[in-house]
Amino acid sequence: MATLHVLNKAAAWTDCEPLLGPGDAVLLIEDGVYAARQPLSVDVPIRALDPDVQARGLSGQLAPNVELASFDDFVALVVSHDRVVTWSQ
Amino acid sequence: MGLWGLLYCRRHYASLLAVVVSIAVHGAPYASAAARTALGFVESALRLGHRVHRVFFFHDAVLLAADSVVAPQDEQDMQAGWVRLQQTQGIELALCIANALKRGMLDEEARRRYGKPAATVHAAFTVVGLGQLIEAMMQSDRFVTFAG
Amino acid sequence: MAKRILFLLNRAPYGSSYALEALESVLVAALFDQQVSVLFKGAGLHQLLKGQDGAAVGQRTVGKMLGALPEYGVAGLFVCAPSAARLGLTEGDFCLPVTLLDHDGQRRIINEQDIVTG
Repeated sequence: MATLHVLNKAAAWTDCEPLLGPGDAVLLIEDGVYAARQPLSVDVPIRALDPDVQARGLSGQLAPNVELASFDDFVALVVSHDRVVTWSQ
Repeated sequence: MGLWGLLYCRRHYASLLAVVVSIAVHGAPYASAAARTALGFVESALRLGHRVHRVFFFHDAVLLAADSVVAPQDEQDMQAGWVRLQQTQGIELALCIANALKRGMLDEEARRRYGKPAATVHAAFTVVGLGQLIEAMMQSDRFVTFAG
Repeated sequence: MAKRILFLLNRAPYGSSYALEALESVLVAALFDQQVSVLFKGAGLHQLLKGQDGAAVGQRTVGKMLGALPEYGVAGLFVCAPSAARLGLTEGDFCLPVTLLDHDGQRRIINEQDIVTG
């Protein structure tokens, strides 16, 4: 039973990271994309919302295991996981 | 096909199935990006053939519905994007009544009941009870919260 | 069919209306006979402190409202144990009985839900 974790603040990574499990995925949005400036060493797929990455001047500067995601990808991630947890602050 | 292949297929086909989605927007317009991100999400969901049952504005997010906003000319008019979705696709834009009233967001009925000088909510938005948030959860396959 | 809904509460009370408004949605979910649980994390643990008096700042008392949750049929009242340790809080500090969960326990609870929201 997989969970999509959506982070809209970089600091939320410390709350989210210990709760990641097999089948989960992470999507970084808004100020959450800054979390990907550091290496994020976890076993789950990590995506970052492309417009938010571009706006913040972070294109090409994200950790190598972080893939960009479009809004269509965001929707596909929501549909392909059983639930969504939003991490803020 | 190995385990990963099977898992990939499960994911792939799930993304092709149409589902019913509702969302809650929690973050205030301008103090957060919640309403903007949520709009991009809903537009994509509809384009991909999913059904959006209800958009529920909660906390300071109810301020998005202010009838008298004038968007800066050099910025995306966020409210206009939502209004267009309601008018062209019939997406329900619901404001939590308890959160709306105390922030001065009144529809015509509330204006009359409380004797206030003007209704302040744009006609594309409806003011509803919190029960409609829970009903949206009950009626939807997926529920996403856009935090402040 | 009732949904399993987990409310993840991570804001302190009184500094904003956030905690109170979130709590109102928890109560309504319970009134609608959903299977409601609450997980307090981080600053949200302060909602549970004993001896609160919201009247001192012209607000309702969040701790007192939380006390009603068991009557409303809210089955799961969970607290993030690492958050409690970091804040120096123990069960004796809380105004109602809660279950402390480590990270594994929280992951297990989240994986049982249909919906997780704030």
